[in-house]
Amino acid sequence: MRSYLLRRLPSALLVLVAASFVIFTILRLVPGDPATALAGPDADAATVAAIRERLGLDAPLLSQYAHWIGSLLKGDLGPSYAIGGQTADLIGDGLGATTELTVAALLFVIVLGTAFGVLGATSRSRWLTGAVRVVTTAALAVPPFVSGVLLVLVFAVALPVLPPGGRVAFLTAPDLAAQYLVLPALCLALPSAAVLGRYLKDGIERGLAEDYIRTATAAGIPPRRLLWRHTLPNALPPVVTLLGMQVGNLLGGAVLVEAIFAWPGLGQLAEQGLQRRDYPVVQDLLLLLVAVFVLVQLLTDLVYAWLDPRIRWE
Amino acid sequence: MTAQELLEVRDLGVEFTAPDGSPLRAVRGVSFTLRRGETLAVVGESGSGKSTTALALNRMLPGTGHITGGTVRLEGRDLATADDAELRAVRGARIGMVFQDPMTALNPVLTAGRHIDEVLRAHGNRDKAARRARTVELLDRVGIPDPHRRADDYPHQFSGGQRQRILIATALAAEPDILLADEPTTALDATVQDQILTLLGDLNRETGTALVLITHNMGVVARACERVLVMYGGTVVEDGPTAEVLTRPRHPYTAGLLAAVPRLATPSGTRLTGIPGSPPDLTLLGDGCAFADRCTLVEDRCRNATPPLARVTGDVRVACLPAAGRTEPLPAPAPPARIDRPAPGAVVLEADGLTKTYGGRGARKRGVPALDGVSLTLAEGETLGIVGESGSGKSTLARVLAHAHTADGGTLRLRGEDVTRPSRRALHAVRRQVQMVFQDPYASLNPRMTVGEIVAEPLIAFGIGDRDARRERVAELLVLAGLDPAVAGRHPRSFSGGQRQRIGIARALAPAPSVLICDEPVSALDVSVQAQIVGLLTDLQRDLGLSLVFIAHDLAVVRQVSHRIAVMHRGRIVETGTADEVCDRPRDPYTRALLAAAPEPVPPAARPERVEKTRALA
Repeated sequence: MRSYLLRRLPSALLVLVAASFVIFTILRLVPGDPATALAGPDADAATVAAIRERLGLDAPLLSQYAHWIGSLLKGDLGPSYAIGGQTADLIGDGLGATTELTVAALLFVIVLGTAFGVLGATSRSRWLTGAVRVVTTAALAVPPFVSGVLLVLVFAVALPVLPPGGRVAFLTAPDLAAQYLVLPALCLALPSAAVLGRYLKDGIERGLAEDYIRTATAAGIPPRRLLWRHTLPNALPPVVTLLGMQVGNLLGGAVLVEAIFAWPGLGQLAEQGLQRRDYPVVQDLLLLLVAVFVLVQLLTDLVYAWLDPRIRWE
Repeated sequence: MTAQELLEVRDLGVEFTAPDGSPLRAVRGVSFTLRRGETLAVVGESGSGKSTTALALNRMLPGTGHITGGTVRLEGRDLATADDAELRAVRGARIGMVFQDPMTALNPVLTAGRHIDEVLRAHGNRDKAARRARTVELLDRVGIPDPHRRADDYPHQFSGGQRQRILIATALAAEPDILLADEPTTALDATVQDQILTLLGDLNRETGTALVLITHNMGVVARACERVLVMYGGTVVEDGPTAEVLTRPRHPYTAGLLAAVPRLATPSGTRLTGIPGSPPDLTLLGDGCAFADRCTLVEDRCRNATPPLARVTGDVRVACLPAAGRTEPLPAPAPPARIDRPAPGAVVLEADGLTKTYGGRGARKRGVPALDGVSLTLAEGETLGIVGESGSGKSTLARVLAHAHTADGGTLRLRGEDVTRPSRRALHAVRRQVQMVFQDPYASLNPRMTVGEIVAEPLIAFGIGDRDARRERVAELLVLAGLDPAVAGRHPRSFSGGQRQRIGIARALAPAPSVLICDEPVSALDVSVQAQIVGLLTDLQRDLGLSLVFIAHDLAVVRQVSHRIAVMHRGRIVETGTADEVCDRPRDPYTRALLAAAPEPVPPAARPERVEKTRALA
């Protein structure tokens, strides 16, 4: 396993370097810069130039890039330009909230996706399989900003059982925090759960038609065991790969969902940072997301190999 | 019913629903009994209903299949009407099953031991340590070496033969009274088949488990079972002691099937005997004997009434109206005809020291030599047979000869010209000269193309003729391959296996090649049909002066069609000589092992004692 990880390391690093370059370039292609944003609409050219000099924005692009990467490697993210405070603190604060949201959403994806997949593939009730199909189609088709509003209308306004927005840190009061977490996590999870469910349904249906399931049936293995112990483990590896890719979707989707539910996470930070052209905050944040995604892919491959004995980390 | 009778099947009927909604009667009025500890073979060709009958016994019918009538009594209890819980208690514990393909019949994510453990658990063994001990004992019994350690290995870590042993251990785990084996050795090499049949026989004797062996292979019947049930068109046509049925068949189909099995002793240059026509279409079957259309002894009454399975003598039952009144034995099949073909001419294709290594995968790249210095010659109008077991390199050799792969080393000469690594233009010319016929007539034809398009494809690829000329040539080729030129507009799915292989041959002949490489051209076909295809190939050879490379694992077929035989083992040709020489006086121990392992449709009593056993291989 260690040699496998070592072999994967160069390509992972390459992805990070390439991503840092793209992030840096794209930010500077966006019209406007932090200095104009900071100085305000009425500032004169001299003020803007002074700010620009103070922030080091008058230096050549390449040296700005080198400076950014250099300080990153030293572990010093530096101060934010516009939002105020240290970039590391800003990201650190948001990271906790977003991790909470995405982990909760991931749990929803796994539970709902498995339920959709298993019910869709094995239920003998036409009504139930039809319902699963309708629900998954709707979950895929309705964007989070619609489903989010609908969820709030139903569960916070019509039947006021859950708060419409805001966050309580999970570690301080888990029961209360869970109430705040349910709606945003569900909203974030629905499309991914639907995708997962569809894949799993196909996987289980294919699996149930395999020769080895016929062998097991002929040996008198009960149907429930046939599904969970004989079929599902074979359907899982491709679904795990898919799940790994969905993590990227969840991280991206969090930006929107956080805005709908007033969730003080990285999504909100990214939004603020972008509006105010706060280069350090946005750059570091995006690079962090890429790093997380790369890490999740590595993890996915490891889990895949663990699930399928024919694949070994060689 | 006496205490001896374990399973009694009465008037069993099974139907499938065809995609267009019409019923397909796969099994019709099948009746037989199985006694405790008996070995019963159910033999028949594809579509005979043998596998469907087996699957119906414990209600494992796939898809739209359902029992339409009859009873399946296991010690008096009717399984045809049993509920799910009852069936689960029967499956595994009373009737164990082994299926054809050991590569797909084991779950890839479960260890060998887990397969057995699951069965023990499902049938009420709650003691984990006891289950483990029994698992190891079972693996040991079926001949898995070092069972303690191997129990924790996954299926992909075992060979095909070992996997079939594990499946047998799984089927026997809950000590069933009946072991139902559906073509258990068809996917295996002859030497491994021999070992598995020996194991099944030993287990039957030791444990008293009755064995029902479903097979298409008369040799396997003779080798493994005391009694045989011959099926055709969804019905039992003959039932009796193997020794009796194989030596004195009463049903014309049984006689035809036996005559169609190529025998190792038949000398080179003999035509294969087949049964004319093709198996019946089960959706169109009406009253009357299903075999009537192919029967040479057919009478008018055969077409009007379904013949009942009636006792003719002793233990033999036959479903043939004329057979009941027949006192004379069936007329002996016509003596095998010689293949009339001119003697081979000058050398066309010459290989010298061909090597080919496939690259390994992963960090430790190590190649597997598939060809390790192969030299051969092929003359004009000659058939060179190549035999060997799976992994011997024979298919790689076919691909290298046909330039689907390039050899790593050695030289390949076509009419004296070095074509080992031809230029793009030379390759085009070489491919026109050397064409291939593939094994699987189902996978090698594009299902979305019409027959006409398939056969015309090489013409287009080689830029032969214009549209009209091509259409004419396609019609000509179809006639050459024994097909009606009117079929050009149809798709492959509406053809039987034999007809599809004819289409494949027509396609190979399209660019007028001089060399035809046939890679297992008949191994996916029924015995009664393979004679037609082999006959077609030899006729084409005579008429077109083709040189044939005939690759197969069935030595008897290869001997009959080939002038010379090359025996391959682990990427090398271990022996080569004239076909009769290699089969009658083999020099290499591997050839001797291959010959010894080939099952012949002769009952043990009438068989000379074998000297060479498969141990010679070890």
